[in-house]
Amino acid sequence: MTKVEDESDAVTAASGEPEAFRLLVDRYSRRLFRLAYRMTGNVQDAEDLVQETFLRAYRSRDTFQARANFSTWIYRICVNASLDHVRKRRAQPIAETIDDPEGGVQSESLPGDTATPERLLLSQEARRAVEAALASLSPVERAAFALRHYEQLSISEIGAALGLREAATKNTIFRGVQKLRRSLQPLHGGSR
Amino acid sequence: MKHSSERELIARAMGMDAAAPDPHLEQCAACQKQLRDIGQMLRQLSSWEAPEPPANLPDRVWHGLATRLEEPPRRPRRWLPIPAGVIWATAAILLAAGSYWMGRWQRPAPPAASRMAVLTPPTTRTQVLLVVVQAHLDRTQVLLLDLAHPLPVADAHQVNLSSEQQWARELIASNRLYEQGADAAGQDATAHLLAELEPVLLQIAHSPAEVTRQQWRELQDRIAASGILFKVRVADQTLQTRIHSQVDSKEQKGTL
Repeated sequence: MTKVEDESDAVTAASGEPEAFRLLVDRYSRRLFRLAYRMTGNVQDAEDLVQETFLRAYRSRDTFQARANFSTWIYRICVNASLDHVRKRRAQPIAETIDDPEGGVQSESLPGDTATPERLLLSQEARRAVEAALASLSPVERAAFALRHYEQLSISEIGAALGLREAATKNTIFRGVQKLRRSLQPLHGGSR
Repeated sequence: MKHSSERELIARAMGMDAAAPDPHLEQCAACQKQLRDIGQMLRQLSSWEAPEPPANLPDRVWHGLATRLEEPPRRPRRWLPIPAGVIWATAAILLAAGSYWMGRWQRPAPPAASRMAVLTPPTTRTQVLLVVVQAHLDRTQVLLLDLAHPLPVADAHQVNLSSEQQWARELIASNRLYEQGADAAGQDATAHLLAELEPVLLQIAHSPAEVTRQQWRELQDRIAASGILFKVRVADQTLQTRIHSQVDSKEQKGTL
């Protein structure tokens, strides 16, 4: 996302025209879906949250006019909507909500792997471990980690999206990664 | 020999700090191994791909959204059948009277602040107050939600609360300021809520930096017993709706 694109999106959002808003839906739906999925672990919830994000954005477009960065603003709305959602069902760990009609874990082989039953089992085990590790993070830690690791946002952008100062943002990410290390240690054997 | 800290290695592996050359790291096999382990773990986490969204996701989102965009935002139920203009005029008079009364008892404000007060109409000041208080409640909510999150079973016996404490300390400073502002502006419910919030924030700020699982649960129980998260949430939503309805009414009058 270039600065010019972001400014152009900001102008589109500020115009408040529903049809202009459609352009933003086209541009941001997919990346918001990925973020919402990483926060909730559920495809249907992620799709609902994308819609909720745009609805909130449209209704609060007047508060946006003074802001400079559209993508940070829309991420913030998506994170808040996802945090609300996760809070409502926080008793359920993420791994239990992954969509799978068979009730198991989605199969996913690593690139270049031949999908032998053994390899498939290993990749499923690894996926389960990753999901369990991510589920051990608090919602804010998960949001901060996802925005940094998967969405490649800068610390200041993550801070703006989560309403945190830079030091608190870094602390949240550090704490999250430390928890992930502890959870995934048996797989990697790292210790300190 | 002083090894690199885990934080330094995580920051390096995640590209969070400028990758300045680290002479120790270049020579220390143990730290290099730690860095490799962190990198390997991050690569494994990268392999956890979110599923591809449905190809027609934007259409589906837009279809669901288009009808809802036309709905007027929900407005709070008005308690008294008094026009909004009268309420705002009364609020402005009360704010002016309050400011006058406070001015008699407090030290004179710095000249710049006085000029600002004269140049800024009271209703605008109240609106600004509502916006900043709403943002404050938003941040407070995130902190309380973070603390309310159940501790994973697999987690360590000790929990580090230092970042939450720092966060709470920052919120306390602004909380006091906004409470005084809300009080002076006659926003009694808001002032009351902020007064209720302060001891909770103080409790968090003054907890030990490292707590046991038991202490963490006790802190969660105390916060839950105060019902403050629910109250903050309701106030946050109410303020948000009030702010939007003011913007809407200005739009209708063509003042925006």
